[in-house]
Amino acid sequence: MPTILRYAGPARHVLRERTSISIPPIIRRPAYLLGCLLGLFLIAGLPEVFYVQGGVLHVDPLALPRSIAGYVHGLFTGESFTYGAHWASRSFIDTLRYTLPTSLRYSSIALTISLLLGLSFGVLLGARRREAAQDLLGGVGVLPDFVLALLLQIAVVAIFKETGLRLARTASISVEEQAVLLPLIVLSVLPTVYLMRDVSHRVFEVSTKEYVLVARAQGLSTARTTWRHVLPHALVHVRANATKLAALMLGNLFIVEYLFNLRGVTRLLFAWAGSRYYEFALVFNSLVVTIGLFFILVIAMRLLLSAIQEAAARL
Amino acid sequence: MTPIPKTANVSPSTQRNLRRRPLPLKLIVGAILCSFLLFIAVIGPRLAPYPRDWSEKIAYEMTEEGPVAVYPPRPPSTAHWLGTDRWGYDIFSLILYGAPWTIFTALAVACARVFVGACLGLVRGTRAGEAPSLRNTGPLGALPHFLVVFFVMAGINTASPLHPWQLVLIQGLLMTAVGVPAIASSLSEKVYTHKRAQFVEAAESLGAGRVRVGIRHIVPMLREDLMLLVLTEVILVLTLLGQLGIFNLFLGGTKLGLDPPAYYSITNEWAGLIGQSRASLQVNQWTVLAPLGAFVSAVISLYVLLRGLEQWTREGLARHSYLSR
Repeated sequence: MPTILRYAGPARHVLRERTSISIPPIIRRPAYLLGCLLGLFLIAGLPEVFYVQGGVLHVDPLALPRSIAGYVHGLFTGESFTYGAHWASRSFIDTLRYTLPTSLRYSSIALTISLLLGLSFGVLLGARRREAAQDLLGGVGVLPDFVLALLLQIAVVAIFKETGLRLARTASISVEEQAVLLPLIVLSVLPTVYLMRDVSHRVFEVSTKEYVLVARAQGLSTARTTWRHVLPHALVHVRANATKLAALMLGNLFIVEYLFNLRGVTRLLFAWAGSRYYEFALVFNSLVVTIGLFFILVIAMRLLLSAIQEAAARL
Repeated sequence: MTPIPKTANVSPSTQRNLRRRPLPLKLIVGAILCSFLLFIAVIGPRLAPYPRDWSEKIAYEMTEEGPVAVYPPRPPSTAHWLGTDRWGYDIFSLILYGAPWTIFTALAVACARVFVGACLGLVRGTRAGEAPSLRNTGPLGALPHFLVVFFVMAGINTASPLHPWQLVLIQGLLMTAVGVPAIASSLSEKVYTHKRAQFVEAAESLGAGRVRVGIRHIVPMLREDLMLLVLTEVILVLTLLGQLGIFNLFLGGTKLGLDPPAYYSITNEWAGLIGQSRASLQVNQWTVLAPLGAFVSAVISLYVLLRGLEQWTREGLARHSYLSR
C-alpha cells in the first residue's frame, strides 16, 4: 500500500493547539478591560443622559461622569452595592445569592441540552444534505425567542381551558412555584437550531474534503469516518463560534427571565423600569454580572466541546 | 493611457448563468408573500374597516334569558374579524394602521445597515496590506442589541413630548448603529477575498486604483450577498422591534396609562400591539394572537424569499459529501 495515502486522522498537534483554553483578552490587557468597563458605564448611564421630565426632553451628557464618579465613590463607602430607596435599601450581594444561581441553573441546563441535541442531529443532518430539513430548521431558527415563548404560553393556557390539563407553568408565581419546562424549552430551542445548522454545515464542508474520500477508500465505516475524521475538524469551527452561541443564549435569557418572571440576574437590569428613580449602580453591577455569566457560558461550552473533540480524536 | 476596456470587468460564469436558471418555487412563493406584505404596508391604513379612533362601547343584547351586557374585548366575529381589544378597538384595523410603521421601518433600517456596513466593509477590505483582522467585539458585543437601544430609548420613549416621527427616526438610527459593525466586519472579509482574485489583480496591474477596483470589480461580486443580507437584516430588525415591544418600548412612542399602569403603542406598530396586549394572554388570547400572527407571517414570508434567493444564487455550486455513500 502506498504510504502516501495513509491518513492518520486529524493531526494531534493541531488538536492540542486548538483545545487549549486561551486567556481572554479582558484579563490579559488592562486597557481592554478599561474600555469594556467604560462601555458598560456608558450603557448604564444612558437613561440619565436622555430623559423626559415634565413633558420636556432633557439631554444631560454631564450626568455620565457624575454617575461614574458617584459609583466609584460608592465603591469605598459600600453604597454602590446597595439599591432601592434608603428606607427599603437592599444589598446587591444578597440579591446575587438567589439571582445568580437561578440564571446559572437555567442557562447551564439549556446549554447541555442544546449541545447534546445540536451536535448529534447536526452530524446526522450534515452527512446527508436534506433541503427540506434545512428549510424547516431555518424556519424555526428565524422565529424570535419571544414569539416562541408567547406561543408556548398561549398553547398551555388554551390546552388548560379545553381539557383542564395543566401541562406547565406559564410563569413563576413564587419561589416554590417556578416555571421550569417552558423557559427551558425556549432557552434551548434556538441554540439547538443554531448549533444543528452550524454543525451540519461544517460537517458537510469537511465531508467534501478529499481526505475523507481517502478514509472511505481505505474501508473505514461511515460512523468511524464521521467520528474520527470529520467531527474533530468540524468542531474546530463550532468552538470558534462559541462566543456567538453564548451571546445568543444570553440574549434569550433576557427575554425568558422577563417573560416567565424568573428571578435571575438579567431581571435586575429592568428592576428600576417601573419606579421613579433610576438605579445606576444596580444596572452597572448587573451588567458586570451578566458579562461574567457570558464568560462562564463560553468557557463551559469550550470545555465541553474540547472534551468531545478529544474523545473523538482518540477513538 | 488607453482606457481600460469594458471586458476587463469580467463577471464570473456563475453570475452569467443566473439569468438562465429556472426560478425555484421558494423564490416565487416568497416574492408573492413579500409583495403582499408591501402592499399591506402601502395601502393597509386605507383598507381598515374602522376609523382610527373608533372603539366599541358597552351594549345590551337581547337573549332568551333577558338582556345581557356585551363589552369589549370581544372574540373574533363577522363584525370584527380579529376581535376587539380591552379598550374596544378593532384589532384588524389596528394591525392595518400599524403595518406601514412596522414594515417600512424594518426595511429602511435594514437597507441603512447594509449600506453603511458595505461602505465600511469596502473601505476596510480594499485597504492595502494584510487581511482585515476579525474584529473581536469582546464582551460588549455579547450584550444583545435590544439592550443598547432599550437603555437609550427607555428615558425618552414613554410619555414623550417628541412626535412619533422623531422617535422613529431616533430609534431607527440607533437600530442601524447597533447592526452596522457585524455587517462591516463580515463584508470586509468577503471584500478582501475578492480583492485577491486574479481578475482584480489584472485590473490593478492595468492601473485601476482602489476606488475603481472597489466600485467596478468588487461591488458587482457582492451583489448577491448584499441582497441576501438586506433580507436577513429585515428579519433581524423585526426581531429587535419585537423584543423592544416585549419590554414596553414601542416604536414611535409608548403612551402610559396610570390607573392601572398600562402601556399603549401610539403608532399601533405590530410589536407594540403584541407588547400592549401581553397582559391579557391568560384570558383574551385573540388580542395577543392576532398581532403575533401578523408578525410571524411577516417573518416567515421574508424567510421563504430569503431561502429562495439563496437557492437561486447558490445553485451550481453544489458539492458532494463523501460520507453519504
